[in-house]
Amino acid sequence: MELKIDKVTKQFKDLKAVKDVDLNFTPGIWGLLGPNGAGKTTLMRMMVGNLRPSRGEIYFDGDTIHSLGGEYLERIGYLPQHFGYDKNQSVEDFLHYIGSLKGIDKATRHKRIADLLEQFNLSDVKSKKIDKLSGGMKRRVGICQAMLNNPDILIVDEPTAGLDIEERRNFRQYLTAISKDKIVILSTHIVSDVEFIANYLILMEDGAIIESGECNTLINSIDGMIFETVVEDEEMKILEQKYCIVNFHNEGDGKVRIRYISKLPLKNSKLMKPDLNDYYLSKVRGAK
Amino acid sequence: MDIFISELKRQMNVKRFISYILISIILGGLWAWFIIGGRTEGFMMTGCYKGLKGMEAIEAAAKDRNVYAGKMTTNNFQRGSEVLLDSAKGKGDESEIIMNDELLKLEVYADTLVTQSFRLSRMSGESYPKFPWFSRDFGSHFYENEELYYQNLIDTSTKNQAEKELALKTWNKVEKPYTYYGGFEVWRDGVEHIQMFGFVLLIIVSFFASGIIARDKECGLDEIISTTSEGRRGLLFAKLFIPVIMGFLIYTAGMGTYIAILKHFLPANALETSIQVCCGATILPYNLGELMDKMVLFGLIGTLTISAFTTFVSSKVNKTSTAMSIIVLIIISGFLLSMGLDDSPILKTMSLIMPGSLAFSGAEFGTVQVVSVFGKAMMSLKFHLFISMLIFFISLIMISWNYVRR
Repeated sequence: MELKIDKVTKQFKDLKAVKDVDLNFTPGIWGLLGPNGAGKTTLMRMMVGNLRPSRGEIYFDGDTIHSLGGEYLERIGYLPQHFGYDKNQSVEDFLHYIGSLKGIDKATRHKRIADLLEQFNLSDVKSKKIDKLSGGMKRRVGICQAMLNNPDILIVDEPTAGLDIEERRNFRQYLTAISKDKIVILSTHIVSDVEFIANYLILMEDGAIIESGECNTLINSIDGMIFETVVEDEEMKILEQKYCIVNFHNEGDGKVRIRYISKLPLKNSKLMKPDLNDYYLSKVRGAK
Repeated sequence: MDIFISELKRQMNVKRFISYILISIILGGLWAWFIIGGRTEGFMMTGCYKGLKGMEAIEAAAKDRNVYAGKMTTNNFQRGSEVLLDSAKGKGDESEIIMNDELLKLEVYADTLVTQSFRLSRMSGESYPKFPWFSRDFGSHFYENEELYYQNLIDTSTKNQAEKELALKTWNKVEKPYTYYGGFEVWRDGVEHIQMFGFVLLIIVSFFASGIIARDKECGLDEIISTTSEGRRGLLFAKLFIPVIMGFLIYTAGMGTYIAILKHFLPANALETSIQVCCGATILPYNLGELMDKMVLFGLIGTLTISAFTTFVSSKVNKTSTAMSIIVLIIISGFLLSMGLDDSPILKTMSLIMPGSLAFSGAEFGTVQVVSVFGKAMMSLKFHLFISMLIFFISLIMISWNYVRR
């Protein structure tokens, strides 16, 4: 199973939201990381067929998704950034509604909905209106509707936006649990969302792909470049211009502990093990 | 069918459905109560039936007027003219009518004769006649004068021979002598109010239909719908027809309640009254009951048209409130244009093409409403009906096009 994005560009009047994107998705969790306005949502909307690319094509197993039409849509599940639902519908009614639109027959739908509600701990609130649920529960309902047709490709756009730490952790667990043999594409601007669950990483900025590949390989590519040291408070301004400082902590007495990326470390610096956050900032800001 | 039922359940959940239907029924009841309960009767400021209101006044007046009800013969008109003139005292502006039992019974004849006298004066360019409004034998020439008046009205209101021929043909179908039965006055008010009440029902229908597609876009649900295998294509049938079904139900519930209450309380035979007697000058060969049926039917078609057109607007905009504002503006414009602006051909044309304006076509039942379309004369009502049906079907086609394409 392969989802291929071939030189895809999306132009909105004066704005080029996505520029010549080339990607090959295979089963696994793909983290699509980038700052707000990087073009992640536009790319995802093209992948689910809600937007047509201005240039380029998207292929699923060799055929364009446009030519596959409903056949392709039967194999995807999508949770948009702003999960929309009818305020007057209960969780169960909403899932039945989406299930009918996904062409799932009534009997299968009943069983599938019961299983998903159980899996996502929503059985107790199935009769409640979605509008009355907490943010985390709403997102779980969102993922349930995306999973109704047991899709081969699951595309989730900023699924943890507005959730607290615990809900975010739970959400990551759910995604990991359902990702087997599927292409899961998770878009976010929160690094920790993908840090622990993504097998592959795509970095996006200004509509273009900066880097993509296996997570560990990408992180290891900056091995030996992450350092920590303590500097004087007044040195910070100059250091910020020279180095890519990924984190800092006030130590008191006019001292600041900084974590930075550089090929040439400062004196008394300690070499650290890189993480995804370091890699992300090194690429998005560019290591000095 | 599964998708249709799912969407039907979503759009017409029990609470929402009951609210819309209940509001329509309550309004229908209140409107009928306003027509019947607030009714007072009288004749040329004589103060007869003073102190009576509602059904009491209607029944008292109908009882008197029914003595000479039925076919309005020339003999009765003649008697009416004599009794009216005998009941009047004074001269010119100082004249005063002293009400008596006989005049109460012949009131409809006397009133019709005074109206005819006024019309004839206006037709010949004279000022309005003063007391005594007509000669003593005026009643015996009632139908000759009617013929004279309508021939002249047709001559002056038609623009070409084809229109004139059609108008004459229609006028010749009017049954003479005219007919009336006591209680027609309150029925006439009730029929006139079909348009006003229709206006309110149209607004209610537009409130329901304006969100049918726009709300999905507004809340983001449309984003999910369009990534499902059945998607918008699967939903199309439901999106097209649920507002039409709901429009039908709202109108039927509201207008049905209104008419049912009127029928329950008001005298049924009054609906056999010729519209020439009760609704001003018109060449249409209908009685009051037929006029009411047609206005209700046209109101229904206008409602279905506005349902379809609102859905079309809903498919074009991204917010329910925008769709609602546009439609309310269109309904109000259609309503205002239909009210008494028939002298301006541009405004008349605009009123004909306004979606839903068929519900306010009451003015087209009056005088000589004939239009020429590509040289062919037709009754304005038929043309309006045709335009309305066209808007209905074009709206459905445009919704399909807008909704399904990506």
